[in-house]
This record gives sequence, structure tokens and C-alpha cells, in this order.
Amino acid sequence: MTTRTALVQGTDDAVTEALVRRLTADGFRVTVTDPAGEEPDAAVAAIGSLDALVCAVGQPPHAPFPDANPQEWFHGVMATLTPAFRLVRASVPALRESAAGRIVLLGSGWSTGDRPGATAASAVHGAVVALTKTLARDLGPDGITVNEVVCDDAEPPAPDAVAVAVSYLCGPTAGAMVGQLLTLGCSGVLRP
Amino acid sequence: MSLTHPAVAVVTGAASGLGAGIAAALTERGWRVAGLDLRPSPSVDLGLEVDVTDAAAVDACVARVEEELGPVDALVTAAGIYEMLPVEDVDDARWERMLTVNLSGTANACAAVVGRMAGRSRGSIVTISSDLGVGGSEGDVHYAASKGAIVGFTRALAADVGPVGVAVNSVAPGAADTPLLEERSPWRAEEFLSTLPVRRLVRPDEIAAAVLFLLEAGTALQGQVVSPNAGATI
Repeated sequence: MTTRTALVQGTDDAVTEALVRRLTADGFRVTVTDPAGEEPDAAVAAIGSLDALVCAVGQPPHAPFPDANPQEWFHGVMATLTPAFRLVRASVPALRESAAGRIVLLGSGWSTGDRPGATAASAVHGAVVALTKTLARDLGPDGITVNEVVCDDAEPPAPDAVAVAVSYLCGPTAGAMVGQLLTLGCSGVLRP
Repeated sequence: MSLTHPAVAVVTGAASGLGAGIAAALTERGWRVAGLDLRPSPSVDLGLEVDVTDAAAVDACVARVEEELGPVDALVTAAGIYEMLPVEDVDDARWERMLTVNLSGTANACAAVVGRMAGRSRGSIVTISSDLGVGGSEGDVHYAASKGAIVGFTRALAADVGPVGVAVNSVAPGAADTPLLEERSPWRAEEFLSTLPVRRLVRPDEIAAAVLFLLEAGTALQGQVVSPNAGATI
């Protein structure tokens, strides 16, 4: 079996470290990319082939919406969301060439909507949910699965728990997990 | 919770289909497996023939498993039945049988282990529900109701025993390529398969893998429903 390759873009160093450790143990050759670093196309090209993309989406600043400058608010949303979108877009051609392409987004699902001052975060993570589900339908026929590991930002799970979930979704027996939200912890809705 | 192998798992419905696949996957990972089924369970460390709708008998089986293999760390409730019928053909007897086997069978097995697990602050339960229990589907009223009931039961039991360190989660598979699905089932028809993003049924080993993931994740997930469904319900 040829070595599978994974590209990881994290937002939390401890989680990224746990992901690298676990995916490496699973037999992946893992590359970490920094959202503030090189261009996504260059990052993907530097690896050559790609089998799994793991991309964390962070949290824009929390603030009460009525006091916000709408342009700054929108900028906060886009600054958090767009790097993930661009990395996914850049990865798709290489993932199509994989025998079992995997995209795992790490986000907060709908959990941020329960918190005050979280309009920007909820906009970002609502977009991530919709992106996950839509990409899953669009890329499924190409043999690429797309799922989201959901971590409640207010009660972050242990980094190793995130890594176990990502490992499962990137593994050879998760090909029927398509467009699902895999929620860590005990919060979350079933499937809206 | 971290499991030190060889840990002991009880699998209901271990004689065939999903349950047998799950039992085999657990064995391969080093678990000692007790299979509970109406019929003999092949390739398990301890096979016990029992009707899961008989609560006292199931409880006695679990007691015997603990005597012979040791404390039960995991329970997977895969015993279940399936039939597809229009609502007007689901008479009282069929309704009651479906709910009794699928829901009360699940509850009986959980009841037999959960007190023991709570006493040790250790253990993980994975119920097998169904994608249809969350989404529903034409001709599946009594089956979907029984599986939806398992989802509700799972989430509530997780809330009850999660705080003492017992994990309770569910795997809700989509239509799977198992003997439960007849050759002429509409779930095998191209018309259905073409609607799935990955264009195929779920493989039994993918369902076993979801179960193993939940068992090995310890208490990192609570009351969650993991649905390998080939994208049937997104």
C-alpha cells in the first residue's frame, strides 16, 4: 500500500499536535499548513498527491452585534471562514485523484448560537455546516467524503478526542460517513 | 475511560448480520466477546442463547458473562428486526412485535449492564438505531418508530449515566448490504442508489468501524448519534 498523505490546517496548537501524532500513527504522511502562511494552491502543490484534508475553522471576535460596525463584523466573519474555503477549493483536484479522498472540517456546529455576543461566530459556523453538507453531496460521486467534527467552543474537548474522531473519519472504513456532523461532548442537535 | 485490553464486550444479535460483524470486529481488536442471540453466535468467546425481550433472562446472561469473562466494559445492542409495510397493514401484533424486539430488547440489555457499569464508573454502550429512526421513510412506520425510540432512549440514558462515567451513544446506519435487506428490496434498486452521494449501500464493516470508534473514544462523546449512511440523510 502506498503511503497516504494528509494536509492539516489547525487553529489550536495542541489539537494540531494531537492530529499529527494520530494521523502519523495511522500511516499518513502529514503536512501542516498555516492559514497565515503560504497560498493554499502552493501548499497543496508542494505535497503532490493528497488523500485527506483536515481543516480547522476558528472563532471570530465575540462582540454584541448592536454595537458592531457592520463592515468590521463582516470582515471578522470572512477572515475566519475564507481561509478554510480556499484551502478546500485548492485541495479538491488532488483529492479527486485519491482512491478514498477525505475532507474533515473542525468547527463549532450550531453550538455558538446558544451564546451571547456570538453573531459572527454563528455566521461562520453555520456556513461551515452548510459547506460540509453541500460539499458532501457534490464530491461524493468523486469518492471524496466530507464531514465535520463539531466541538463546542465553550467546552473544548481534549485534543486526543478530536484526533480520535478525525482518525476515524479519515480511515478506510469511514467511506459511508457522508455529510455528517460528528459532535464531541454531550451537546448538539441531532441533524438540523 | 481508557480500556485496558482484553476488555469484555456483550453484543446482542451476534448470531448474524450486523451483530456478527460487530462481534468479529471486536474480537479482531482484542476484546473478549459474549454474544447474546436467539440462535447460536459463531466465533465468540461465550455464546448465550436468549430472547432479548425477556428482561430477566438477559440479566441472568449478563451475570453469567461477568462470572465467566469478567466485568462487562461494553455493550452493543445489535439485535433487531426489520420489515417494510404500509401503515394500514401494520396491525397491533406487528406493531407490538417491532417495538418489543427493537426497543424493549435494547432497553433490557442496557438495564442488565448499566447498573454494573455505573457501579464501576466505567463502561460504554452503543445502541444500534437507524438512519430511518431520525429521518423516517415511506413504508417504514413501525420500524422507524422503534428506531427513533432507541435514539431518544440513548440520549436520555446518556444524560442519566454520563455524569458517573458511562458513555452511551448510538450508531444509526443507513441501508446496509446485509441479509436483513432482501434481494428485491427497494433499497437495493438503482433508483435509490443513484440518490446516494457515494452511489452504494453501506458495508457492514463500516458499521462495525463506527461502533469501534465510539467504544474506543471512551466518554469523549455522550448521547451522540453517528450515522454511516452513504449520504442518504445529510
